[in-house]
Amino acid sequence: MRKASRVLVLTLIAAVLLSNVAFAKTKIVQWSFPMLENEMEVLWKPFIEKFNEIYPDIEVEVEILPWAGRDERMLTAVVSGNPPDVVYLNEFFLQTFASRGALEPLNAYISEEVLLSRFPETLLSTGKVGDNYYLAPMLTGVLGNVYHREVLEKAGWDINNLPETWDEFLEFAAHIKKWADENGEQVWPIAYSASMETTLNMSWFPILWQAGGDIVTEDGKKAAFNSPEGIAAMQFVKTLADNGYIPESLITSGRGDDYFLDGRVAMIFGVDAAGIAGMRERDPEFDSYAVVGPILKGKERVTYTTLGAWAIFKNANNAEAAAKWIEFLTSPEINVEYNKKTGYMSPIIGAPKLFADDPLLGVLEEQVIYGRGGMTISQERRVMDVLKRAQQAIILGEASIEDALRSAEQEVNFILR
Amino acid sequence: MTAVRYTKNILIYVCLIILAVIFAGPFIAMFLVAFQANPVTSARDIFNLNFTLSNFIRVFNESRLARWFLNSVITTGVVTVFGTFFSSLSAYVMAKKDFPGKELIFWLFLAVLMFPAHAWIIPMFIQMSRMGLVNTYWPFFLSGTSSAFGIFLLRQYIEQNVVSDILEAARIDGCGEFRTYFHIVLPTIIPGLITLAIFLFIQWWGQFMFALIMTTSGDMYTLPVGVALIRGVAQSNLRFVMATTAVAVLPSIVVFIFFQNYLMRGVVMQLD
Repeated sequence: MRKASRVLVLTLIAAVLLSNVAFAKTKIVQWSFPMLENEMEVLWKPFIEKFNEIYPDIEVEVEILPWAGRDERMLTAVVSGNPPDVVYLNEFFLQTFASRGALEPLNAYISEEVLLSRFPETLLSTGKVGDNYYLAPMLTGVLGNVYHREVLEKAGWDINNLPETWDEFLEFAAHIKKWADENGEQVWPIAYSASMETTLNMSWFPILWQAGGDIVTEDGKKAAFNSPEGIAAMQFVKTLADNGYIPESLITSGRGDDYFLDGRVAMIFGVDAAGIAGMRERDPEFDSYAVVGPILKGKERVTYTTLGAWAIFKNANNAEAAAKWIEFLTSPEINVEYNKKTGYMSPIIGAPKLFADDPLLGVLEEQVIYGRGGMTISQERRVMDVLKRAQQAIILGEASIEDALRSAEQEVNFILR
Repeated sequence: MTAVRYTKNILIYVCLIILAVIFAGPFIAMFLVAFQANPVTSARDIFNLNFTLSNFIRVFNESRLARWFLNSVITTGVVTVFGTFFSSLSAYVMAKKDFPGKELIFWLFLAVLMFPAHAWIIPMFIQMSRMGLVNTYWPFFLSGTSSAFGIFLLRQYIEQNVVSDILEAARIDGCGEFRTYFHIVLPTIIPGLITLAIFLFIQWWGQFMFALIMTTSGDMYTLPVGVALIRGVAQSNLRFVMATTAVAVLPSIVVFIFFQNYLMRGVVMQLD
């Protein structure tokens, strides 16, 4: 009897232990960065609930970290061998992590056919190193030009005749400047920020690409901006500055939002969906005077597209579960919902237009076709800093365009060596 | 002569007022925006104040600001109290005891000050991570309660203010080491301790990178990390961001206002 009860107790213990093993959830941790206020409730909890209806055995923990210091935070986690399973990355982080072997190739878990059926190949290849895809695109955002209807009306420029090319823009700028000077108005034609805080993805790089140039060579090993196209792009910016088309303070600090909201500039260069959302929040009347104009064309009509994507870190606790979560997040239904809430554009093939009813974002969404990603080299930020300094030196007249670009080229080649 | 002196004084005061406006201006603007009911789109909106507390109420309701505030109070409080105490113990030994290698050890302490945070943050994180202490208060406690700067500062103070003869007399009267320390050294160096406590408070209350690296859970963020999180998501809503920032910086401002004499003294002590 005693023996029988012992066996019974042992059997019960074994059953409990085994059931724990059998029903133990696989836990994955995701690091993302804030997109919305109250994001956990609005976005992630509903997504996790839906995911758990399909995969009840995978527990997802989303940790939202500040944007500030994210490079240091991610690098520390990677170097210490303790990264999260899934992480939100922009394309410019790709080389930083992929070159260290810190990322899992997505195609090892999600078939290439599925990836290619979901995303445009051009976008997907932004996250490709060698034969492997490392980034699953989640969002895109295109950079546009927003014009101030009231300023244009006062200055006598037809809002339906917005500049399409550089030459047309220079004509437009001259017209606004002349009107402002003649009428004693403190109004400038364009808010273009050349400050050290402004990323060149939102300022000079689109102009360089419009000129037909590029920042670095295709293999990412040498500077490519010191070219006739690069000189033309810098000349365009310098012309704007030298003619007083840009508010002087924007050369060294700040962004142009305040000028635009105050009606002190006719156009603000390089605004994305988040920028529009921000200005809308600051001024409820924003839509009444803001108009998204055409992407300018030098030799080419091109602008910057940001890419936000998911990636799996190498030391993930469970890469397979992480891949299932990413596959879920990039499914058309979830992806569209995510972008609708965050105000970005969906990179999914055949995704419905999210902002067709929006007079501003709707136009930006149409302009996605002109977008291209930024640099994907690991030294992206250092290269950008060199060019920011060069741009400022040129605009402030501290160096000629040729000298500044030549010197920047040497510095960048040293960085990329 | 008097006229010259008056003119000189007036000029000095004018310069000081201008400097005060330059330095205090951003703080004043921050509080004005935080209490502003209307959207702030330009500089003139800041001064056209329509007073409200709703920005603060919203910040506390819609974010975890109260939790982050509590985390900051706990981490900074413990670091300030124990960091000051432990530094004073080491400083006392460094100032008043003789043993082989004392100078070498002291210079090693000072060498720690030369290392930028980026040089030791990764090894520190690995250590904390292996001990399972990430996302707890322990990294703050373990790292903050030993302060090379504190030892340096208090050693100077003890050398200048604690007379060795009194320590000798206490020993002759039968005081042990700890009794000598608690009854003679500690009461003598209270101003120095307050100075160090203020430095530690200000340093750890505003500590961003360390807190960012050692925490990933929203519940464990301290105020600087929480403020950065809010800035990232609500940067276009200036009133919301400024209300958050105001809550975050207010304790530092209060400490500065009430203890500025001690801070000045600390700066002088370092120069000595």
